[in-house]
Amino acid sequence: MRLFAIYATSITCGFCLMALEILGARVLYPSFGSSIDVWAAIITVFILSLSIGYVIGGRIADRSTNNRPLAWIVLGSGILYLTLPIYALRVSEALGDAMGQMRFGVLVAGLVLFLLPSLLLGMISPVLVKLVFVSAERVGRTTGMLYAVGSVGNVFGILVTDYILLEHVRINSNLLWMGGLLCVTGLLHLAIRMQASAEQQPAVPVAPSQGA
Amino acid sequence: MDRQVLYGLILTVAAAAAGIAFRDQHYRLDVGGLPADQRVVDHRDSPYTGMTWVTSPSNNYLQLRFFEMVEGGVCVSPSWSDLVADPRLAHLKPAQPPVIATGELDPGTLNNSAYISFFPAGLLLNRTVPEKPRVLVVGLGSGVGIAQIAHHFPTAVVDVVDIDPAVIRMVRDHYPLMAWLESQGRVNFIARDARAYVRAQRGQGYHLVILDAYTAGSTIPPHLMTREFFAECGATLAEGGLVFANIIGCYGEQDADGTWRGAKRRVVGGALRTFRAAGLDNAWVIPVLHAGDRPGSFDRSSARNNIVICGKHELSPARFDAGWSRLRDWVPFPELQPGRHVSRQYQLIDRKANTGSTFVPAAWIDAVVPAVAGAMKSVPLGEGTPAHTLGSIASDRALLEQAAQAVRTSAPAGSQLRGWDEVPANTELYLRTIDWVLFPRETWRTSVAFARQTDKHDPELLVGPVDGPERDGAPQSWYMSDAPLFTDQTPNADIVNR
Repeated sequence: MRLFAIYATSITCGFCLMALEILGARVLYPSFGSSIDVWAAIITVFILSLSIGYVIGGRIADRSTNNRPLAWIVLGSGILYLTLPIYALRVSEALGDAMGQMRFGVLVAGLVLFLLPSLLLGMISPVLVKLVFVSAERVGRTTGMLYAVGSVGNVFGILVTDYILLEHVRINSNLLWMGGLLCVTGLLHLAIRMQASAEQQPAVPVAPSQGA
Repeated sequence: MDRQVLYGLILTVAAAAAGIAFRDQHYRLDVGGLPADQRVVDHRDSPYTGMTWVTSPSNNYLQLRFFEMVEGGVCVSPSWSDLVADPRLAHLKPAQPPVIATGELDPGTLNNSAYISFFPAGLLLNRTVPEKPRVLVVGLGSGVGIAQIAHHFPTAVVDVVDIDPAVIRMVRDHYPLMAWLESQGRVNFIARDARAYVRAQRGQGYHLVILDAYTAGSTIPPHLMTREFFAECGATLAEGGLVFANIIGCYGEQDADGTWRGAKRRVVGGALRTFRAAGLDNAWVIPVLHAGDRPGSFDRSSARNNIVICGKHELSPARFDAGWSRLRDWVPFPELQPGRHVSRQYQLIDRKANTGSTFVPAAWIDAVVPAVAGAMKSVPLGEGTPAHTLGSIASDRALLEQAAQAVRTSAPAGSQLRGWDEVPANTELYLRTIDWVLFPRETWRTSVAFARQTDKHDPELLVGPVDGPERDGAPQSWYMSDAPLFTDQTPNADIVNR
């Protein structure tokens, strides 16, 4: 059950992250066009935010003893998704007017709009590793499995958004549904406490003081 | 309940409520210079674009917009039922009267976008005008260009390839005439990427291939603007057939030091060079003169629609007189009479700030302050100006205040009254009158006459320097020395040309 909850969180966040990448490009189209520059900017922003997110998430993971920090990270990303419809179009249009003719304009818009939500979702992987960690012996296979599950979420996020959601659901509605999903995931983690396994069953028994 | 859970719940609910409240924002449907009475008919998102059918009774259009950009517009009046009342238009008459749902429109075939007028030119400039024209259209848009072909060429069969199935559904759902033409086998929709589709059509014998595919960002998809793709288009042509491309761009941008260069011109110049490199050696440009343009004042620096027509037979006005006589003698929509479908709209123009209000239907002012119409002084037309748009202007401040007041009181709820809340100093009231039957005719007449000027529009004089003859004596200001050649290896045609 515990493992299922962790995998489900990973899949959900992976799904929403890549869905935002596809939707994000669409949010930028009206102001910046749909050239290769737009995709270059979007991919840059998401990879950059993942790399920053991994670092920050790793530090948080080291300090955390339960799933509270995870809950607030997921909830925070959900709230950013929910509020994107308020400012995404305006910011994109304003920046488009100011910098639409400059090639890096779209990069700035991408950073402003999507760095924060994707950064939060990037923080989740190391935090989940901490929760799923059982023993040093199995660290490879547990983290590997966790990454694989998260990537499956990524794949579905891309394909489902492209093939189904964009054709049948408005952009803003997509963002709202995903924001709702993330918020519910975060709230569940707030409501149901989960201890980091490493704390519960220390891999190496604490050795008695060797004496000084 | 745990306090943190409660906080989380409150934040979630607040964010969701805020997001839902702002969910229905549209892409700039309310910018200045647009009609105050426009309303959204339907809006859909697709993987490629956000599309909106927008209608304005006062400006007589049903437009399909990709985000805020107009892909094409068809006049709401004359409607399809108006057209089929004319016995000369029996080829548009369905066996059973169409069922139009309440609140839906049934626009006819008359175009509300200038460049659409030129679709027939592609068939008229075939070496001989085909009896049963076969047309391939790349990029559907609103569908009005296809309706225009169906109007003038009853036997034409038009295949339309568009990458976005949602656009096809949108046109079927809100343009009943197009849905009917499809049911008659006169229009076939294919939802595929044009590059893959065109390659499979080699030897199909199309008389005309119309390239009108644009991305949501108003650029041509790079893989549909290369030498290799143009050659594939050429391979689908019948003997004497033509490729017709709608290219948004301009002839030049002048730097402070007087040299001509810039990105936008590279699109038109690049298209010409690339067509010729693709074996469609004979190319010609018809720059579409919009309302307000005067041939004498043709502005080379502003982006516009340019119709590039090319094929394997001679096309220049000097060497293909038969074809250009057909263009000269052509009358778009000969069955329609001028004076029947006219738009009259007022706009406040702030001369100093160079801004304008939204356009309002003339009736909103005329019904309340009849004196306004009497006070308008007509703006004289320049020589050779397209006469479908007439303007007149008034600057009596007291009258303008009354007019703005009339607009505020008579506009129905939901109208976009930007610029009507006050009348700043230096403001003038402008009355724009457009005759939608003269609109395609005059656009056609002036643009064709302008395009006949071989010294300005001959591609051999326009582009180079690589693949043209020596150009001593060519007018240097028209000459695009930096025209690129787009190939699959160098397909950088996605130049922002807004």
